[in-house]
Amino acid sequence: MNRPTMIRSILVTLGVFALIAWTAIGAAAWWSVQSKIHVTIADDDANSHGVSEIALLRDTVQTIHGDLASLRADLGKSFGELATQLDGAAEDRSTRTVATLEARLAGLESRLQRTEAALQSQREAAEQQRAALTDRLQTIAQSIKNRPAVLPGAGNDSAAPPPVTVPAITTPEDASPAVTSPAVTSPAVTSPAVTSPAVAQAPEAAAPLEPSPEEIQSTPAAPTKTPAKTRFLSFSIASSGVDFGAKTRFVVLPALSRVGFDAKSTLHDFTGVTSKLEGNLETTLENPAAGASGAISVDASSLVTGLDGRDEAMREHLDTTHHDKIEFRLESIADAVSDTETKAVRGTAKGTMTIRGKSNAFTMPIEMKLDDAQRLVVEGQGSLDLPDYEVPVPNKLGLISMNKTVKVWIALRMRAQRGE
Amino acid sequence: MAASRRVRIALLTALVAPGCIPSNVVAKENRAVELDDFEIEIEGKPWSAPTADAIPGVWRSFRITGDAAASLAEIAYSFGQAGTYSGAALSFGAELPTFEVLQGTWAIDDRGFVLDGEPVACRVREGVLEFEAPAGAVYLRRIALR
Repeated sequence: MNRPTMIRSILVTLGVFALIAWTAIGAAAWWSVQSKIHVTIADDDANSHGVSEIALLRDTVQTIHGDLASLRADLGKSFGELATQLDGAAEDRSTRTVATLEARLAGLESRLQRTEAALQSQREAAEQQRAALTDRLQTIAQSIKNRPAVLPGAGNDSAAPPPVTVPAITTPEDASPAVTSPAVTSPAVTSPAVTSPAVAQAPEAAAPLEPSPEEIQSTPAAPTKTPAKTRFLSFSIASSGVDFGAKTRFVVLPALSRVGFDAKSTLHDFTGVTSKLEGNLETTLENPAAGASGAISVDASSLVTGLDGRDEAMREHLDTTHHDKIEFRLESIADAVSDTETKAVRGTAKGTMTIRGKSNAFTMPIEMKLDDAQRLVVEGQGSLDLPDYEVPVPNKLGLISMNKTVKVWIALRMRAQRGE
Repeated sequence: MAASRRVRIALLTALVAPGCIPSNVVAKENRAVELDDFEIEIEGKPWSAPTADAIPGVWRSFRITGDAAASLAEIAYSFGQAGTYSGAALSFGAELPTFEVLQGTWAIDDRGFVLDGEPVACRVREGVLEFEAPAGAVYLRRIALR
């Protein structure tokens, strides 16, 4: 055997031996791991996602579950805190409401007590009045009964005694309205003066009340007709402000009132005004349509327009020498709308306007309202034609002329008259 | 010639002069008589609680509001250092306004300002005193005697 052949044989032998060894190793390996291998047959879709996707999904679900649990716990805690705070706020609000109500109740009780005290005072005064009047009646009756009748003129007139005088009786509450009737005099009785004692002298008395004989006989115990009173900083006042539902007489406050007119002319417009006026209004503000009356009287010569020359010409045209007043007499308030909450009234004042002695029907939309000082503020305006009142329309050289229609306006403040 | 010229100038002046006079129509919102400026002045001013030093003196009302305003035209107080006062109120009457005059006591304690034993809501600012009660409020200005 030559050398190359021998090498080939060796290599073949080694190759066969290596193949057998590799096969044996493979069989041994298969034998050792065969119990640990599980074969699963799945479709293509499952194979494409793989087991790791499911695991991720499971993890995600578990994370969400955990978050939800945490959120539920936080929400529960927050709701608990909110409920606590709401309870506290409601308690505070209730406390404040109770305090307010208590304060109001205390105020009402205080007012009630004052009212009761005032009523008691009035009752006592009325009782005293009744007793005094009864005494006086008895005294007069006794005196007439005891004296033989001596008629005036039948005897010596110069010896006639002084009349029976009745002293003033005062009531405690009528500080403002003085209700006075003639003093009781009896010249027919020829007896010494019979004087009854002064009675019911109350500390707040202001005005004397002297009942007439008729009052003594018919209504001996008639109470004084005064509005209910209350106290304001220790002063006596009426218990209420202006009563919207009662018929009330208002009087113009000239110092706070103004009336005027707006006129147009070819070259310039101007206004004439004055505060020299007086007037009144009587109505029920809640329902002026039920009846309204009143008047405004303006001093015509006091109207000023801002130019002396023009004022002089105006007085000539108004003939203030012979007709010194411009007057409006109110007859009704039509189309009235009254708002008792805002204390305001709208309507149309209807009446008669008198200028330069000539009267015509005149209407003027007006607004009335009570201001915070309980004054009635009355504002309105209407138009009138000067020729209707025989007032010459100013005209200069036929070039500068005034419009014959002027706008008349009022801006009044009025005060309710007390002690009706 | 000169006379004719003068007449023409006078005529022209008469025609033109009125045109120089401005319009003086009073606006609708300005027709009413304005109230005392002081009433407007006090709006929005700072107030403070009254002290015993701030009260003594003579005070006269310049504004009364509420139901009391329907009865009272004016109020004046003379508060003394010793806690006494004299007051006068001018009340509207059927014909003429009438005065009511009274005397009493005042104090400042833990209830605040107390008038004749009754607490009264009160506040002050320089020269102005305000009392408030259920029937209304009154604003008084300190006055100097002459």
